[in-house]
Amino acid sequence: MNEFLTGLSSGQPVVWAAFVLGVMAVTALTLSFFWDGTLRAVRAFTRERTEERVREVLARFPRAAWQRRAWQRRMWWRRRRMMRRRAGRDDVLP
Amino acid sequence: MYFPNADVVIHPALPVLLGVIVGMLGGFFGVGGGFLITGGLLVFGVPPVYAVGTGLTLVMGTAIINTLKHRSLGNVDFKLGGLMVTGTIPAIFLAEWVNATLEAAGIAGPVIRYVYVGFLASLGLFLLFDYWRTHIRTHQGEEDVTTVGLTQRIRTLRIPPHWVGIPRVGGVSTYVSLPVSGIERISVFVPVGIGFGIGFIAGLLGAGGGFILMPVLIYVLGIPTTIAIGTDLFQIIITGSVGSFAYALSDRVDPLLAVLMLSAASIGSQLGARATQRVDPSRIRFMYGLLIITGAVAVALEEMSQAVPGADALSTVASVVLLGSGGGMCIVLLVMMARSRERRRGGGH
Repeated sequence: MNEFLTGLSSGQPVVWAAFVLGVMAVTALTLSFFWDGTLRAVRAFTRERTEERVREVLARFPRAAWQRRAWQRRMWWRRRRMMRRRAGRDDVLP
Repeated sequence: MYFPNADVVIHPALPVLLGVIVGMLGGFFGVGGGFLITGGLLVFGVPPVYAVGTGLTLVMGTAIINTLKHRSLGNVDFKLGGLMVTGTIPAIFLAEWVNATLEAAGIAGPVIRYVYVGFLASLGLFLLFDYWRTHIRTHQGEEDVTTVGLTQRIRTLRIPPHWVGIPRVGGVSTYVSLPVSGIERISVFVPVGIGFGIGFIAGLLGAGGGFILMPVLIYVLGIPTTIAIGTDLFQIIITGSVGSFAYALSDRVDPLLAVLMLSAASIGSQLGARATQRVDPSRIRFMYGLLIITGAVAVALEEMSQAVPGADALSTVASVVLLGSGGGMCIVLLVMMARSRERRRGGGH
C-alpha cells in the first residue's frame, strides 16, 4: 500500500489529486451515513425501551381515566416543546 | 504508525484526538479549523508543507460531514451558498495571483501574517464587544446583534441591472428570496460580492475562509446563527476542494493521515452539530470570539518565532496554545450540553 501511494503521487499528479479528493469525499459520505444510521438506531431503541417501561409501570399501577388523560396531555406538551426546540422555530407543530 | 507520503511516524492516538477536536469545533462553529489542524500536525512532527496540504484536505472532508449533519437539522441555505460560491471561485484564483506577485516582490510572508493577526484580533474583539453590548448590558434576545441597521441597509440595496435578458427565456430578475435565511428579497450581487470578498481574503491568507464568512453572514446579512454555521460549512466544501486539489497536484498531501483524522472528526462532528441546538446562539458567538482571539495570539507567536532570532520555541508554544484552547473549548461544550440535557429533563417533569 505504501508503494502504491508513493508511486501514484510521484508519477501522475492529476490522477493522484483526483484520487485524494475522491477518497476523502467517499470516506466523508460513508462516515456521515454510518453515524446517522447508528444514532437513529440508538435513539429508536432507547425510545422503545422507555415506552416499554412506561407500559409496564402502568400495567402494575393502573391509573384512573382522568389521570391517564392528564398524563397524555403532559406528554403531548413535552413532545411539542422538544420538536420546537429542535427546529429552533415556533411554527412547527407535532 | 508510518505515514508514507509525509514520511513520518506518529502515534495514531495523537491525530485521532486532534481529529475529534477539529470535528467538534467545526460542527459547532461552522469553521474548517485549518489553522488548528496545521498547528497540531506541526507539533506532531509532520513537515510544514504536508501539514498545510493535509489540513486543507481534512477541512474539505469534515465540511462534507458537518454540512450533511446540519442539513438534517435544517441549518443549510443551499441557494445562498450556491450564489456565494459563484463569487468565491474566481476570487481564490485572483488572490493566488496577488499572492504570487507579493511573493515575487519579497513581501508576501510578513505582510500576510501581520494582516492575518490584525484581522483575527479585530474580528474576535468585535464578537466579544457584540456579546457584551447585546447580551450583558441590554439583555436583548439571543439572535439580536449590534449591526441591525447595517443589515437592513444591505438587504435593501438596489444594484443595477435589475433585470437580465436571456434569449428564449426573456427578462429574469436579479433579485431573489432566501426563505431559509429569512430574507424576503435581496439582490444576487450582494451574496456574490460577499463570496468574492471572502474568497479573496481567504486565498490571500491561505485559509479556508470559514472563520470570516460565519460572522459576515450573521452581522452583515443578518442570518440566524445556526443557519450561518450550516451555510458556511457548505461554502467550505468548495473552497477546501479547490485548495486541496492544488496541494495534491504538487504532492503535498498525506491521504492516510487525512483519512485517519477524518474518521475521528466524524465522531466530533456529531457532537458539535448537536450542540448548536442546545447552546444559545449568543454564547456560540461569544465562544467563537474567544477562539478567534486565541488564533490571533498563536499567529502572532508564530510570526515572532520567525522574526526574532533564536526564538524557535515560540512556534511550538503557538501550536500548544491553539491545541489547548481547542481542547478546552470542547470540554466546555460537553459540559454545556450535559447541563442543557439536565435542564430539559428537569423541565419535562
